[in-house]
Amino acid sequence: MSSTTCLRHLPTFAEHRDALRDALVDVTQESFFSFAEICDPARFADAVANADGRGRWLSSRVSFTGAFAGVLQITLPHGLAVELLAAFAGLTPDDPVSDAQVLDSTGELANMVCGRWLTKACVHRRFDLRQPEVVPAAAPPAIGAGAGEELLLVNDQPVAVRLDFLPS
Amino acid sequence: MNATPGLESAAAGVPMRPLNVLIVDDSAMMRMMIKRVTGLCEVPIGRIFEAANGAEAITILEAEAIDALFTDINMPVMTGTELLRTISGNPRWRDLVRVIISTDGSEARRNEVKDLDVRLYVEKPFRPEVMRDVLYNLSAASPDVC
Repeated sequence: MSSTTCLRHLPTFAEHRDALRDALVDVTQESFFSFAEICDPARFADAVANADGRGRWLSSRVSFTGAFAGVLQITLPHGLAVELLAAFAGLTPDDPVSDAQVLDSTGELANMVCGRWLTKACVHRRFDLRQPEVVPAAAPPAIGAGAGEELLLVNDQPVAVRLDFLPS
Repeated sequence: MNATPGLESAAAGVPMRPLNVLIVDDSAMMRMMIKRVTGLCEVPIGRIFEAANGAEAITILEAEAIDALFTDINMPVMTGTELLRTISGNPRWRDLVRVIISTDGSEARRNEVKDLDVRLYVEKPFRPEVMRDVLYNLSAASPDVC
C-alpha cells in the first residue's frame, strides 16, 4: 500500500482488501489459534444456517481516526466468540466463562484486526483507535449488503467483517 | 539446566532473583493471556501485577518493586505513551525495563515513544514464543535480575 493511498481522504475498500485479509488471518491464527479462510456468499449462507450460538450473534466495532477515518465491524456467532475466548485466554472446558470475558475478547479481536490492518496498510501514518464496542446483534449479517464487506469462516463458523470509511 | 540464552547468566553462577512484572492493558483477557504466556516461560518470574490503564500502573509502580513493565498504548484514562512520559526521567524508575505490547506498530507510533526508554516493542498479535524471547532478552540483558 503506498503512502499516497494512505493520504487520500476517502479510500476504497478494494484498496485495503488484501491488507485487511492478511490482518484477519494473522490475528485469528496467532492470537486465537484458529483457522480462518475467505469464503463466498453461498458458503457463508450455509455456515450461517448452521452457526453455533443458538441464534445469538455479537458485533464488535472499532472506530479509527488518522490519515483517514472509519469503522471496522466484526459480526460473529456467540458460540464462536466463546470458542475464541477459550483459545485466546487458554481456558479449559471446565473453566467458567462470563459474559464480560466474552465481550472483552471479542472486542480485542476487532481491536487487533483493526490495528494490524492499519499498521500493514499505512505503516508511516499514525492512527488512533477508540475502545471497541461489543453489542449483541439481533440477526446474522446481511450477506452481500455492501461492497465494504469481507466474508470468512473461522473454524468453519461464519464471520462478517465490514469496513466503512468516513469523511475526516 | 538447558543452555537457554536468557538463563546462561544464571548457570554461570550469577545470583538469581525472580522478575516482578507489571502488565498494563485495558483488556482483562489480554492481561490474562500475557500473564499465562509469561508463566509458561522458563525465566524465573516473581509476582505479576495487573493494571487496566496508565494511572493504575503508576499507583502500583509507586507501591511495589517492579522490574519489567509491559504496557499497551491505546487505553482509557491514561494511555501507555502518557504513562511512559510520566515515569521517564524519574530516577526512581531508572532501572525499570519498559516493553510496549500494542496493535499499533506504525513507524509514527514507534517514533513517538523512541525517547521514552522503551527496550522492546512487541506488536499484537504475537505468538507465545515471542513473549518467551522477550523475557529471555530481558533476563540476558539484566543478569542481576535473572
